[in-house]
Amino acid sequence: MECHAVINSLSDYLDGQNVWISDDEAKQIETHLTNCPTCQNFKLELNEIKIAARELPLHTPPRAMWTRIANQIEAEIAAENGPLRHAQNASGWWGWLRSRRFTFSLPQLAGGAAVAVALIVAAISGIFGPHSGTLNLSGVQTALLPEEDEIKADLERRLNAVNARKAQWDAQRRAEFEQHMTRIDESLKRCRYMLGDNPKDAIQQQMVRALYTEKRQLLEDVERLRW
Amino acid sequence: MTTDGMNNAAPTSLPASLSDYELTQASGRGDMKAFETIYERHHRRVYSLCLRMVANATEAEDLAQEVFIQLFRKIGSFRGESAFTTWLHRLTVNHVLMHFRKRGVRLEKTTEEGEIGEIQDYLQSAADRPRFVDRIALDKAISELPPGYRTVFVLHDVEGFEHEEVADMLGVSVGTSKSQLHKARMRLRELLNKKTDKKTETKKTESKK
Ligand SMILES: [Zn+2]
Repeated sequence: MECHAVINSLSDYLDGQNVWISDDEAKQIETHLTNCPTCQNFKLELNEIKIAARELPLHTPPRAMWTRIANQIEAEIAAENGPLRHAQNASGWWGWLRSRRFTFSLPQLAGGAAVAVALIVAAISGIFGPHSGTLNLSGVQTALLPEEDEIKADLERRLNAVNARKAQWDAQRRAEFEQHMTRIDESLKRCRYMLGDNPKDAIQQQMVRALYTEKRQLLEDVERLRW
Repeated sequence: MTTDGMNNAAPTSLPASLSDYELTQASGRGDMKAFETIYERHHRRVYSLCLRMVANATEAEDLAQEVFIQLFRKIGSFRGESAFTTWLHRLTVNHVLMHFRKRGVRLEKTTEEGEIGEIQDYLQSAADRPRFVDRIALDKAISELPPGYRTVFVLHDVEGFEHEEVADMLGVSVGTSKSQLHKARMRLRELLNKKTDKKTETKKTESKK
């Protein structure tokens, strides 16, 4: 085996001999290494880099970063909810819902029992800031998950049922509902865009699934509340 | 792992005994104190990851900040099925990759030419080098890598993702991930040796005086 072939295989050799290269190749490399100080030196240095990479020092951002984060979160909460506050009654399925998700109440919508609307994990993909509008998200139409068509059909059925009743809602309730649906749909569009790019990405699949679940839950909640 | 950043934690933090999971649950109910504790535990690691991937302090700060804001929005959806750190790191990586996409950085096209020639040069000068990779020097050298190499190196060697995961995240083949990693290590070795050479030269000059 020649030096340059050995050097090109060194990372494979260092990272897992049984995974990336055969025992036979590994033996050939070892034979070469014992006879070639230059390649041996390469091996040692690459290995040191690999080891040192796991022990790099951590960097500390400026203290002001937390202040900015906290300010923005508080501003967002204030902007999204205005007069809304956390639900007062933590009983029954409603309490369960609240413990399950980040929620806000809509005290002006109901008399006695506080009615909460779940704040859906809108940006569930975690990767879309306010500037993501620059991306062409026009969307993959084919199913990206094996069960996606089924999910979509189920959601459409639920949505139709809700839409049939929507005419009786007051404007604010309708606006609340639309706002949440839009947020989920936009997140879904973006997550599906990402998944379309890398269909094998398991975490992205999980995110798309989680969004479908949130959408179903919102529709279920509305059905259960008999809005 | 969870002790990161605790040495400079704010005095107002919740008891350190609370697990990440308990803190995410509390944060999910809107408890900012709990969220601040999560921040104290993890902000250095998140920031360091961003910094290593983008190699620019201002950008890294913006990205880390956005990551924590996104984290707050979706923390209620963390179910504790995986380790919180894994989840958070994945969130961070996704965020940085999205940032690359917006800027139009195509990772798989940053492969450089001429690596064989460079190997030849080093065959001559590979003897008597210090057998120690200085962590600070390595950190610096990582920031000098081309973006494609850097991303794969940070994900695989620094963050410990497997090639299959890296390939999925970047939308490239496992083979590409592997070859980018090897090239990244070779380039780092070269950068580190250049630094060592410079130091040795400086010392020689000084001792001549
Ligand atoms: Zn050799």
